[in-house]
Order: sequence, then structure tokens, then C-alpha cells
Amino acid sequence: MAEKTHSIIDPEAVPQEAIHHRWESWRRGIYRFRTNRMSMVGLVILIFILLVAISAPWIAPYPEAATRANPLARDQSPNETYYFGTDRIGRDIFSRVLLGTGLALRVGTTIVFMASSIGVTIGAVSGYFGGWVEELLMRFTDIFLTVPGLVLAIAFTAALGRGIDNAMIGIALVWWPGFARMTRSQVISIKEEPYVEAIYGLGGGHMRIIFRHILPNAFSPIIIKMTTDFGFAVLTAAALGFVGVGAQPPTPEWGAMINFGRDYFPERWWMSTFPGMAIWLMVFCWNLLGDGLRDVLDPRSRR
Amino acid sequence: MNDSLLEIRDLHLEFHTFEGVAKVLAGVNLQLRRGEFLGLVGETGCGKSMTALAIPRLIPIPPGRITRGEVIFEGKDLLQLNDKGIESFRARELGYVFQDPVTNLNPMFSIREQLIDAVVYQSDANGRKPAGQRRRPASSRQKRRDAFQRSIELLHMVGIPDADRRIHDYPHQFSGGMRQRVLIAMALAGEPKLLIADEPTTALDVTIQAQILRLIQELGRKMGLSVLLITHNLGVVAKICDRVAVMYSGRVIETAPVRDLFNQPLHPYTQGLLKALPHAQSERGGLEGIPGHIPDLISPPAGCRFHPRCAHVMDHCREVVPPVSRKTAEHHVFCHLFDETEEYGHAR
Amino acid sequence: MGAHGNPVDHSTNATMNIYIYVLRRLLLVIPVLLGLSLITFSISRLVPGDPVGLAAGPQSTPEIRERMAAEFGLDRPIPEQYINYMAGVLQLDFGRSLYTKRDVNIELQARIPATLELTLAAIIFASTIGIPLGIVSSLHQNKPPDHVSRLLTLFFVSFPSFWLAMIFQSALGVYWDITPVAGRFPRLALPPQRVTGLLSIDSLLAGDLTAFFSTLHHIALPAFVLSLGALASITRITRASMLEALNNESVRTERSIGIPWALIVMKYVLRNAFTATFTIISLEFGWLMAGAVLVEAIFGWPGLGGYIVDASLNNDFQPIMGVTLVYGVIFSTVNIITDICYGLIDPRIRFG
Repeated sequence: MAEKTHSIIDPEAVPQEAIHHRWESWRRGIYRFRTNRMSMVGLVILIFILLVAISAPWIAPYPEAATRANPLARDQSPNETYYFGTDRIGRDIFSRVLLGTGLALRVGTTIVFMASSIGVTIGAVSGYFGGWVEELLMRFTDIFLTVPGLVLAIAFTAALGRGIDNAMIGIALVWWPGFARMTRSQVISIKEEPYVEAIYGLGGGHMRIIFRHILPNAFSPIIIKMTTDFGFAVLTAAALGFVGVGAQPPTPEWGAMINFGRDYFPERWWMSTFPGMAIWLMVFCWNLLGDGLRDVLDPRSRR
Repeated sequence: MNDSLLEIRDLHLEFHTFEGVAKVLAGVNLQLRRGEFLGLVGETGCGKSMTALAIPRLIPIPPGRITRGEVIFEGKDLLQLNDKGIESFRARELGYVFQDPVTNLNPMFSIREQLIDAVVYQSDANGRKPAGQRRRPASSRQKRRDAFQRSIELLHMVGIPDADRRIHDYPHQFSGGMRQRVLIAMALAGEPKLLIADEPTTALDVTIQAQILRLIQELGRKMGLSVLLITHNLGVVAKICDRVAVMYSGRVIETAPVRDLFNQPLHPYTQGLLKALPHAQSERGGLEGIPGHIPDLISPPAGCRFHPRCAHVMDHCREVVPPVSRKTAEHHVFCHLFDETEEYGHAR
Repeated sequence: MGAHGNPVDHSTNATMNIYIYVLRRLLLVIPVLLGLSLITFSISRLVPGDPVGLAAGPQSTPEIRERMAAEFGLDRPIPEQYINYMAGVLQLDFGRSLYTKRDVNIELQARIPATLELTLAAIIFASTIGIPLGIVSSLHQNKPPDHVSRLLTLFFVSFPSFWLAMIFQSALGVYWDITPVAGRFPRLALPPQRVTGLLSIDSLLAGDLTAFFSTLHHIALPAFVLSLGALASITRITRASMLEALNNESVRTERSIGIPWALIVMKYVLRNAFTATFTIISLEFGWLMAGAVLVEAIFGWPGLGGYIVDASLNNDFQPIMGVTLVYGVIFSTVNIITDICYGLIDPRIRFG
């Protein structure tokens, strides 16, 4: 009766089981995501935003008037020609909001990818090597965490020179520490797993182990953070535009548009109301998505 | 039959999971008499803990769902009580000791605070205060002072040295065995009639296990408790229980006085279990003597759930759930092999 | 603790340990602040263009500019400038603004309490709404109240605070005239004698209730708008930590004993959930100080935010450096206080 049908440890069977397990958890994840109504709403809004961003140059009624002054059409309230009205110098706000969509998406993507590549690299290196490397990198990270990100981003952008590109760099430069902290703790827990030691024993190089074997397993929290951060990155860039160090006129950037309409609020409310609603929609959809993804991928929030 | 304290009849419990509906309990029948120690044994996942949790209704209700059955305690069906009623049952009649003493005490509160609450609410329930009445101002302080004295006595009773000093400590300042003693004190604070102990020693060091078991045995006998002891360790059952019930995949398959069961196991599963005993002594391992898997609870085998692993399987084992067969008045088995032995029974 | 006859040395040891712990934490802050000053100093020297020229104005002659550079020490080698600056900082002298020619530390003294008061008020708002909302959510997990509270908090946190501030200011301040449009205190009234710099506390200390209510009246709207940013995360963390605490096995034990459900939740579960919520609240404090930059700009709140925005727009780096250092100090202090409180709340944590 030596037949132990379960708990037979067959070395060949392990990877297959792991693959099966990963696929199974993806299947569950997609199922959970789809049953989460809020995140589905977020996804629908995002698809809508993407469509608008792609087609904006064609569907915007006055693409050329978005950036050029038109003294004959200034200060118009929303009407049949200008759905969202026009601003102080006669630019069509509807067209500007549409054209600003692509810009906002680009801004969010750039910031999130720049910040996560810096942060993940620093976090992975410090978590993997430990010792003085970790001490040094983490103290460096702490410096950035002792000042509110927005304040430092304003200072950085001002120093680099105003404009949307520098604003993205400035924001990314203060955004990475969150990724670094998170990646570090992930890497520390993963590198203790036996399979990593096994690969190390087989003579894998450090970089190969970090990027091929450890980071893929730290993926889900990074994805969650990228998603939730996307909306707030757009929001921060808009804030810089609003303050005046971000996008400069005539760039159709929503934050700068709000700033431009600020002096005429509330009499000419349309100038800043519509861009504000656009920002809200963009941030809201990413927050919905992030919340849904957290439910799907974060084992702690699951119940 | 009239010395029965607790009777579970045909209890069905389901859990709704991502994979489907798990039929965790599929008609559990169990009887506990006044003053007896009943061992409930079976493999991990057979439903013994769920059966115990279902008695005071501590199963999380979604995802769990009780679809059929009764839990009769002194003539009342616990499943029919309202929230107040079940709370007062737990306070007045029940003591429950769980497996892991580390997670079962609240780490943020001192032992004093937790014990005093246990004493206050259990004695309030015993004082037969009308339900819903708030006890507070006037006597509250005095009540807690009395409860404090009682708490120290309880700690003495469960053998915690230096109790009047240690009572102020926090759980993390106690060892595992000491914490389990504290939990036993909390369970017994209201002098219940029923004590459920769910693998009370599994999480402890081997040397401590015997002490805790002896404590439960002594206190149980002294206070005249009915004890439902859940374990996967047949050795423990042999040592301290009067009767034993064997569970397999959501059903009780055999109940008997301890000696009868060990001398003459009837169900093929019980036989396998006993054969495996010398090897399986250690921890909750696989059952080396019995080939095959523990059945899947979502699509369990039809008929007798043991039939795919049974050496004596017959055709109608695959279709019909075996009814109770009474070998003697005390020795019941749920297996088609014994269908003909009805003559001993007093079928309902 | 001692009242119950614990050994005396035990408690004195604990307080000693707290002192040592705080001292060690304070020492660790020093390199971080040095690093911060180095970073802000370097970026201030990155400033494109010529800050001196900008400050001196377009009509300035080379001599005027040279004299100005000498006056502000900008003709020295960069390392020397840094050392001089840091020597000043140690004596709480943050230099002088090139643009306004005013001493930075005078501005800071006036503005730090304003920002602190606004942020504190917002944190109090966010917690009084967010914590109950999170508790309700957790007790009705995945049922309508839970969905509504999650949706509502996500809805509000997605608004650009500066935009919302504008709208509320126009609606409540201008249109309905319920709240003051801007500022911390009536322009023509005499503020209470300065003790803490927090007007609400100072007016209470002075026994001036009119001033106190006027302060509250002024701070209500900005603090509310600011608090919306922290609301979502406070609610979410409260919910998550409540769920974790509710699933703790000790809750099952407490139920099996027959302790009423309401008491289990209000006493045991809440206490267990509190540490995580507490941590997030102190983290949010930092986020809100950042958000305050924008809200201050809208409501004409005389705090650090408006100061650093103006300085950035004018390439005026002396105030930028001063303000960032102050933020660094405030942040580090909040962190240390949080960790100490954490240790006091959780009996398992021993300092040392």
C-alpha cells in the first residue's frame, strides 16, 4: 500500500504546475475584473477617451482655431458654433479640450513610465544587493520623500525652465521614490524564495536574475501602482500648468486653460469649467481602473 | 436518549466559491451526551471543524450557507434563534477553544481586559438579564472589579503561575501553551455546559500538548462538561474520550465507544485509518493505508463518498447514500456493507 | 501600568528607551536634510538665464548687477556659496529673496503656521468623514453602502482641487456669500496675540470667541476642499484595515465567548484597525501639505504654498530652498511623532 497518489514530488511536474497556476490566477483575475462593475465603467471611459484622443484632429470642429487667436470670436458663451464657447482671445474651447486629451494621455504615460523605470531599477538594485548599496540608495530615496512631491516638482520645473516637457521631467523626478520603496520590499521578499537561490546556484548573473527572474514576479503591485498613479500624474501636470510653470500658451493643456480662464470666473465660467471636467473624467477613469485592478491583483485586499 | 445535550441532524453546509459550490457538509448526524467526551476525528478538510463551527453559528454566512438540518441544544434548534438568542447561547452555554493560541487572543489588549469582558458578559447572560437591557452606570464599575477577582481565580484554575501579576500582561508576553491556558480560562469563565475544543494542541510544542490535554480532561471532568474534541490524532482520542465519531468528506461515517471502535472498526475507511495509525501518528499527513484522493467537494462522488477508494465497493454504493446501520445500540456505521444488520436498530 | 504593581524598573526603562529612540531618529534626520539642501541648492544653480539680471530689472547696468551679485554673495565659488548658506541656515537665517529683497525667515515665520493650520484642519475634516465611511464600508462589505462610499470617495478625489476650489469659492463665497472669499482673518480686524501662530488656538488662548469663530469661518471652505484629496485613501485604508481586523481569528474567539457584536466592533476590532489608519493619516498629512500649495493659491491663504509658487515663477531660489527645507523638517517631525505614537498604541512594539 505504498501508493501515495497525492504529494508525489516529481521535478518535471513542478514548472508545469507553476504555469498552470499562473494561467489559473490570470483567469480568475479577468473574471474578478469583469464582475467588478466599477472597473468596467472605468475601462469603458478609458476606451472613449482613447478614441477621442486618436480622432481629435479630425473631429475637433476648429483644429486650427485651437491654438490661434481669433479676435472676432472672443468671449462667446457655449453656442451652436462653439459647443464649449470661446476664450479671451477667441479660441474654440471644445477643440482645445479635445486636442488636450492626447496631450494628457501622453503626459500621464511619460511620467508613469519614467518614474517607474527609475524607481523600479533603484528599488530592485537596493533590495537585491542589500548592504551599503541599499543603505545609500534608500537614504537618497528618503530625501525625496521628505518634501511634498508637488513642491519639489514645481521647484525642479522652474529650474529646468517652464514648459510641458520639463514639467513631465520634473514630476517624474519626484515620483519615482514610491516605486523604489515598493519594488525594494517586493524584491527582498522574492529573493528569499528557494527558486531564486537555485538559479543563483546555477550561475546566473545578477542583472539576469533581477530582471528575468525576480521582477516578473513583482509585477502586479507595480502595475497597480502605475494604474492608480496615472490619473494623479495627469492631475499633477495640470496643477503645474495651472500654477504657471507647466504647459505654456498656446499649448491646449487643461490645467493651463483653467488658469487662463481663472480671472474671468464665474462670469465666463465656460473657459475653465470644461477643461476641469475633462481632467476629472480622465482622473476618475484611472482611479476606477486602479481600484478594480487592486481588487484583482492584490491578495491582501481580496476576501 | 434523554441524556442528550446536543444533537446535530442531517446538517448540510455549502460554500460558494469561484470554482463552484462546495458541499462541505452533506448530512452530518452527531449526538453529544451530558458529561461525555466525544472525539471527532477525520482527515484535514473532512468538515470536522466546520461541523463544530456550525453549532454556535460561527460560519461566515456568505460565502457559507446552511441548506438543511437542525442543531438541537437542550430541545431548542440553535439554527432558529435570533442574533440575541445565539449570542446568549454562546455566552451562557458554550466554551470554545481554537487551534492557534497565538492568533486567537487580541494582541492589542491585556489579558485582564479580555478576561474581564469574558467574565462580565458570560455572567450577565447567566444572570438571565432581559435581552437588550444595557447594563452600565451604577453597578458597572463594581461589576468589573468583581470580574477582575474572578479572572484571577480563573487564571489560577488553568494553572498560570503568578496569576495576579501576569494578568496585566499582553498576549505576546506569554508562551503558546500559556496563551492556550488563558483561552481555556476565557472559554470556561461562564461555567458552560458544552466545551468545543478544535485541535487545541496542534499548534503547540509536543511537550506542552500533553499538559493542555490533561488540563482539559481534568477541568472537563470536574465541571461536568460535555466536551466535543476535534482532532486528527487517534492517540489523543484513545487517551481521553468516551466515544468517537469518524468523519469522511462532510459526513459522519461511524460512531462508537472508543474501545469498540479500536477493537472492531466497521467502516472500511475507519479500518484503513486504524491500520495507518502507527505511521500517521506524527502530523496531519496523508493516510498511507488508503489509496486514492480525498474527494473534491464541488463535485463529490455520488452515493457513498468513500466508494472510489473502497476495496469493498458494490454497485449501489455509487448511487445511494448509505443510511445508518446499528451494529449495537452504541455502535453506528453508515455503510452499505452493514445494511443487513438492521435487526439491532430501532430505525426511526 | 505601574499602578498595578509592575516592577518599577520596567517603566523607567521604557521611557529611557523612548528618549534614546527619539534621539537616534533625530540624528538620522540630519543627513537627509543635508542631502535635501544639497539637491535644492544644485537645482537652484541650474536656473536657466540670469536670476540676478532678472531681479535687477532690464534697465540695470553691469555695475548694478555686479554690486547685487556681491551683495548676495553670488560672486563667490559655488561650494563657498553653499557653505555660507548652510552656516546661515544653522542660525535660522535663510538668506534674502533676490526678487522681493525681504528676509526669507521673516516670511517663513509668518507663513508656516498658516499652512500648518490649514493642513491640520483638512486632516481633521478628512478623518471625521473618512474613518466612519470606511467603517461602514467594511461592515457592509460588497453591499450597497460599501459600493456607494467607494464610488463617492473616488468621485471626489478625482477632481482637480484648484478647480474645485475655484468653483466653491465663487458659489459659496461670491454668489451666496456664505463664506469669506479669501484670507485667514478679516482684513480690518486685529488678529489675536501671537502665541502658536495658529489663529484658532491663539484666539482661544486670548479668550476671544468672535475671533475664534471668524477663524473657523475663514478656514472651513479651503480646508474642506483640501480634505477631499485625502478622503479616498483614508476611507480605503480604514475599510481594508477594518476588514483585516474583522477577519482576525481573535474576533471569532470573542464571538464564541458571547461578547455582543457591537462591543466587539467598537472596542476590539476598531482598536486593531486603528494603527494602519493612523499611519495613513500621518502620510496623508504630507500629501495635503502639497495639495495646500494649490488651495492656498486660490483662497489667497498666506502660507508656504503661495510663497514657493511666486518664487518659482520669478526664479527666486532663496525662498525655494528655505521652503523645501522647512517642509523637510515638518515632514520628518511628523514621521517621528507617528512612529512614537505607533509604539505607544501597539503593546507589542518596544523602543530600543
